[in-house]
Amino acid sequence: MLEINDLHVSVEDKQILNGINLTVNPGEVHAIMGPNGSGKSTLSNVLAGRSGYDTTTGRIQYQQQDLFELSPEERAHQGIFLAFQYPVEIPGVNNIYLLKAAVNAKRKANDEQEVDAYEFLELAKDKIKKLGIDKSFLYRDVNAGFSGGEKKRNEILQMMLLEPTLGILDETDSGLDIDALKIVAGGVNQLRNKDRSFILITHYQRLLDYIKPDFVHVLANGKIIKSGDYSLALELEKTGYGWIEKMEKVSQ
Amino acid sequence: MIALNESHYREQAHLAQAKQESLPWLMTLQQEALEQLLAQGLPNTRVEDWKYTNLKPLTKKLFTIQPASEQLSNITLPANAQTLVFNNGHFQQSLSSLENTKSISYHVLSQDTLDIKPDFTHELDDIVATLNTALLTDGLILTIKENSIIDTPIHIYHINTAEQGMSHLNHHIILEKNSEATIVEHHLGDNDNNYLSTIITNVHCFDNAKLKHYKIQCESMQAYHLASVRSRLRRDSQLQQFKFDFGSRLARTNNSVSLEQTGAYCQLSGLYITRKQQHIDNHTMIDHQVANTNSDEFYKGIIDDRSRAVFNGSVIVRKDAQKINACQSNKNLLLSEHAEIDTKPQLEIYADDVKCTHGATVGQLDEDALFFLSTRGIDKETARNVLTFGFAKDILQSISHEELRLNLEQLILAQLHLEHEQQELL
Repeated sequence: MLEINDLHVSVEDKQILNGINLTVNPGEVHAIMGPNGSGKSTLSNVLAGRSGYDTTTGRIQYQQQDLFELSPEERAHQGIFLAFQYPVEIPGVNNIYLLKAAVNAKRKANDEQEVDAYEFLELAKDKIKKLGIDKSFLYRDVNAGFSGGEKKRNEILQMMLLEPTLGILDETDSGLDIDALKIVAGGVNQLRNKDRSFILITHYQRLLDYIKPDFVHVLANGKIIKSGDYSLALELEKTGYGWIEKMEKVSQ
Repeated sequence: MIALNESHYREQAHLAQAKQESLPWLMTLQQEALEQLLAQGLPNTRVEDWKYTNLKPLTKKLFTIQPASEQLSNITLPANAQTLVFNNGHFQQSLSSLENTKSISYHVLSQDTLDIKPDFTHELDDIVATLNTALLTDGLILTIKENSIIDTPIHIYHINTAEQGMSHLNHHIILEKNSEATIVEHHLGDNDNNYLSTIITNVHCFDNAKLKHYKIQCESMQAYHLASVRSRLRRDSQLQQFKFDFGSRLARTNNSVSLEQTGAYCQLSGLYITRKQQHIDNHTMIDHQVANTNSDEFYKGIIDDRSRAVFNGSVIVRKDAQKINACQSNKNLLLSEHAEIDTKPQLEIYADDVKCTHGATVGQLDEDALFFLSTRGIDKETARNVLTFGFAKDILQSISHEELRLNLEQLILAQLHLEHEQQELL
C-alpha cells in the first residue's frame, strides 16, 4: 500500500530525514518510535502533504501512485488521514459542518453518493457514542476552547467518519490521560481490518499497550535504525533512547 | 487644502437651498456652510485627521443634484416592513410604508412645514458636515415617543441611481424617555455608478432609551460616501451600533458617541470588507463625559486586493469621569500582499479610576488551519473562504434579531463570494 524508498527530506536547508525505507502492507499497523527531534513529525507531515518540506531524494509510492503528484486534498480523497499532534482551532467554523464537508468531499471525489444532513447526523451520533463524547461537541466551533483530550478525540472522530485506508496518528497519545488514551485506542482498534493500515507515531510505548502493532521501528537522526515486533517497544521502554546515541557514536 | 470649483458649487447650493424655502433658518445656515466650504476647501492629507484618506479624486468630477428616478427597477424593498425611502437624496413618500402613529412620528425637511426645529448647532463643526449642510437635499426627523417599544425594525433606504449625481442628507433620530427601537440605515447604489453621497445621522437617546442602530453601506463600487454619525446618550440609555462597510470606492465615517449622563452605555460593532481599489476609513470617537459610563467597541476588517482600510478609534475619559469601563478592539485580516490597513487606537484619559483596554491586530489566514482543512479533503478556495468567513462571523453573534442577522450573514457571504456548497460549512 505504502512504500517509502530512501527518503531524504530537508526543511530550510536543514536535513531532517536521511534515507527512510518503509513498506506498509494492507492491514498492518506500524509504530514509529524515537526521541524528540528524530524526524517523526516530519515524516507524517510529508505523508500528508504539508508544504515547506523539500524532498531531496527518494520516493513514496501510495497505492501504485507517486504520492508527491497528489495534493493534500487528493491524498485525503484517496484515503490518507493524518491525526494532528496539535489540532488547530478554527473559530467560526462549525464542527459538524466541517465533518460533513470532509466526508462529502471524499465521497464526491470517489463518485459516491453524498450524505445529507440527516443521514450524517445519525452517522456522527453513532461514532460519538463510541468515543464517549457529548453531542454538544458537534455544534461547537472546530476545536475552539476544546481541552487537549477533546481535541485528540475530535481527530479520532474525524478518522472514524472518514474511514481512511491509511491512518497516520502523530503523537495522538501525548497529553492524554489513561481513560482518554483507552478511548482513542478503542477507536483505532474498531477500524482495524485486513485492508486498512496505520502508522502510529509515538514517543512512548504506552499507546502500544492498547493498540498492538505488527511492527515497531526506531527512528533516530532521520533514519530507521532498528525494526522489530512489539517486543522492541517493550525493550525501548526499559532502556530508554540513550543507547541510540551510543550506537550513533560507535558508527561515527 | 483642496480647492473646489466655486461656480459649480454655488450653483448646486442654490438648487439645494431652493428646496428649503419654507425653512428660512435652514437656508441661512446653508449659505453660511457654503461660504465656509468654499473658503476652507476640502482637507488634504497633510491634515492629521485625513492623513490616510485623500479626497482629491472627489473634486475631479462635477457631481450634480439630480431628481429622484421614475422607477427603482434594480432594488427590491422588503414587503411587510416599516420603510422610509430616499432616492438620489429626496424622500419618496410613495415608496415608504412607515406611518405616523402615537408611538412613532416622522417629518421630512423637504415636505413638511416643521413645527419642531431640529438641532443643527453642530452642522459646521467638521468638513463632512459643512459640505453636507451647504448642499443639503433632504433630511428626516424620526421620533420614537416616550415609553414606546417598537419591536419591528424601521428601515431607512438611501438609494442612489444617478450617474454623477450627489445626495446630501441630514437625519435626526430621537428616542424619547424609556423608548426602544431598531433602526436600519441602508445605503445602496446602482451598479458601478460614480456619485457622491454624504449623510449626517444625529442620534439622541434620552433617559433609559434603548436603540439598536444598524448602518449597512452597500454603495456602488465607484461611489464616494462621506458620513458623520453623532450619537448623544443621556442617563441610563443604551446604544448598540452595528456598522457594515461593503461598498464605495472611498468611504469615510466620522462616528462619535457622547456618553453625557451617568449609566449611559454604548456598544459599537463594525465590519469592513474591502476589495479591488476600495478605500474605507472609519474614525470613531467615544467621549465619556461623566462618571459611571461604559463603552465597548469591536471592529473587524477583511482587506483584499489593492484595497486599503483605515481605523482610528479614540476614547476620551474626561476629568472626574470616574468608574469607567472602556474596551476597544480592532482586528484585521489581510488577504493580499498589496492590501493595506492603518489602525490607530487613541486613548485620552483624564480621570484615574478607569478601566480601559485596547488592542489592534493585523494578521493573515492561518497556514496551519488551511493545511488542516486540505488534509480533510477540502479544496483550497473553499478553505480560504471558510476561514475568512469564520473570522468575520463573531460580529454577527450579538445581533439578536434573527431576520436581520440572517440577511447580514447572506450579505457577508456574497461579499466573500462564497458558493452555496462552501456555505454549508458554516
